[in-house]
Amino acid sequence: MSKKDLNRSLRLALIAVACSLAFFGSGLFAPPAAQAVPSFARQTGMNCIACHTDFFLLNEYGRNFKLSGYTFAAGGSNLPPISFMVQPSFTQTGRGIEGGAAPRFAANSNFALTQASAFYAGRLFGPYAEPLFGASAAAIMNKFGTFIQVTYDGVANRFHWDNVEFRFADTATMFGKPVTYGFYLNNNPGMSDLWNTTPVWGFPFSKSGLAPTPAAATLVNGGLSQQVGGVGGYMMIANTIYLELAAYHTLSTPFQYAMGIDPTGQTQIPGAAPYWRLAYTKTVGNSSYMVGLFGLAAHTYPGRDNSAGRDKIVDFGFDAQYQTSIDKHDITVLLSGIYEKQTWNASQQLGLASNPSDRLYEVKATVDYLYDKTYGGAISYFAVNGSRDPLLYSGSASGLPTSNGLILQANYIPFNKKGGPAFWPKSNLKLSVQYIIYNRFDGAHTNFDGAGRNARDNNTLYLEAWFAF
Amino acid sequence: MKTKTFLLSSLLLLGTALNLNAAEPVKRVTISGYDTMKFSVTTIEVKPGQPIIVELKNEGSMPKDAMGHNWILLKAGADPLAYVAAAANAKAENYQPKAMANRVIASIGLLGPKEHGVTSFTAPKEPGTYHYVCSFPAHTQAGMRGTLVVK
Repeated sequence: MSKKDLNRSLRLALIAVACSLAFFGSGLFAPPAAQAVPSFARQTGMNCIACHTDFFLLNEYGRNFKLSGYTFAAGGSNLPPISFMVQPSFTQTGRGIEGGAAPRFAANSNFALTQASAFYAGRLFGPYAEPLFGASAAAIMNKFGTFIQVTYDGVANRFHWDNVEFRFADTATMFGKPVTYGFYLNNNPGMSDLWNTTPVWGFPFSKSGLAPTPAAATLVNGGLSQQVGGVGGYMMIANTIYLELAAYHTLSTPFQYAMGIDPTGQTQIPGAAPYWRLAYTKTVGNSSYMVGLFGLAAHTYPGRDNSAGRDKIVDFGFDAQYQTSIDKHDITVLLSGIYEKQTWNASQQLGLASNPSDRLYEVKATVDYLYDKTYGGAISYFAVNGSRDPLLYSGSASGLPTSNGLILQANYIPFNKKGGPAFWPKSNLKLSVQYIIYNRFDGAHTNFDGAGRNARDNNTLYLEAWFAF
Repeated sequence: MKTKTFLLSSLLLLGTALNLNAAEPVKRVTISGYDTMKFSVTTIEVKPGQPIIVELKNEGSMPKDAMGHNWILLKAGADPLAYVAAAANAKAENYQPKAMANRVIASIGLLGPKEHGVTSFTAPKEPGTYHYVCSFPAHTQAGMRGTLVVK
């Protein structure tokens, strides 16, 4: 990026942030009453900081809230559990993308609305269970919780359902130990996770939709998001052992279209694919740690084509988290690795894969830091590697899936510590600058696509203002 | 004569008992509360009627309104989860509902980061297990609880 381009980018970004602040501060979204949103904060009566460090990274309180099926309440709010999120952004890549970064966008230096989402999240019946069902029935009904996100994707210019989950959760005693257990229905394997180490809620928590991303990813890393329906159960024993088991099945084409998802080319699971999770967690003073395993096994139709039999994909993941709070310093270390074994019984016959079987590996290590609950940053190393397969990775001149690099991010979260403006105290804002540096991209450091594009051409500067209210 | 002897014996026994009780050393306990919603001490053993001094230190760094800690010792038979369920809706009373004050033996009020509080009381004379909790919303469920064992 030339110095002139960089200056222009920063100038544009500052304008974007200033416009966003002016918009937010104008009170255009001021509610009729000075009640707090987002809905979880309103339900618990606390600010975002109670559950998150650098949102949406969960802390111990947040993990327990999620374990409770989003049902814990202490706020006494009378408003329905509805809240919103808006993410205006600016993206610049090392080199522009011929034909535009996406339809309707320029080759480079693009402003966009990354996402605008509405949430119905909290107790299923909000604060209305008792008036609706009476006190005794409400005690049961208030154990049902939900997280429903509907999103407008400003890059693809479409509305679609996003992560959606319904839960039932309760507590019990087993062999003298306290147990929190629950059941869920959701549309994304790993959505239930508590530690931000598995892909659904992993770092980075937000990124550009207008920059190239590596072609290779494991199935559990976003390959099934919003395309499947799953039912699962979990339990946390003595706040130490976490067990979870679920099964996922690809949703019907008409249903997906109705939810705003285009099923064309999807990896289809015609049967039931098990997802599992096991974790050991412990707290020591103001610190906590977790080590865990997770995975997914699926028989699949490639591109929803059932004419050549089924492939088999098995993901084995490990993860770990260390989180500590020392005076004004909050530090979270996130580690994860996924090994994927791919057996291409169908894909090879259909000419989609060169080999009868392949391997794929993903690794991610992130350190997230927050000072005084307000100023923070993160550095993350990521790598994907695996078998050479020219058909499977047709966009790579070498036929390799190899990509690796660093993500650097700086955050300013002005309302995190004490809550939002007086007219909307349970709101939050995160201003972030993210820079992704690719060392290798889709198999090579230089000329990875055979057309002269280098890995560094995909380096991405991403500026975002993330409003939650 | 018999009556006089009985009265003297009774007084002597009572005096011995009182003297023994007074001689029982004071039990001092310091408990730390953390942002991870745990107490550093989860079991306290005392003798019936033993004097106790409990100090609670909030060693966390999160704001009081998001992660305050208190220490509530409940009477025998009091359900800790029922108490904290009521406490969750008693923010105005610092999560110590006055309506359930008759179920509490001793308490230390809500503390912010780096604050500490002290309470002194006499252990129940009935041997048994007595629960103590942090009644800040959801903290007990997350494991911030313990037991006073009188034996």
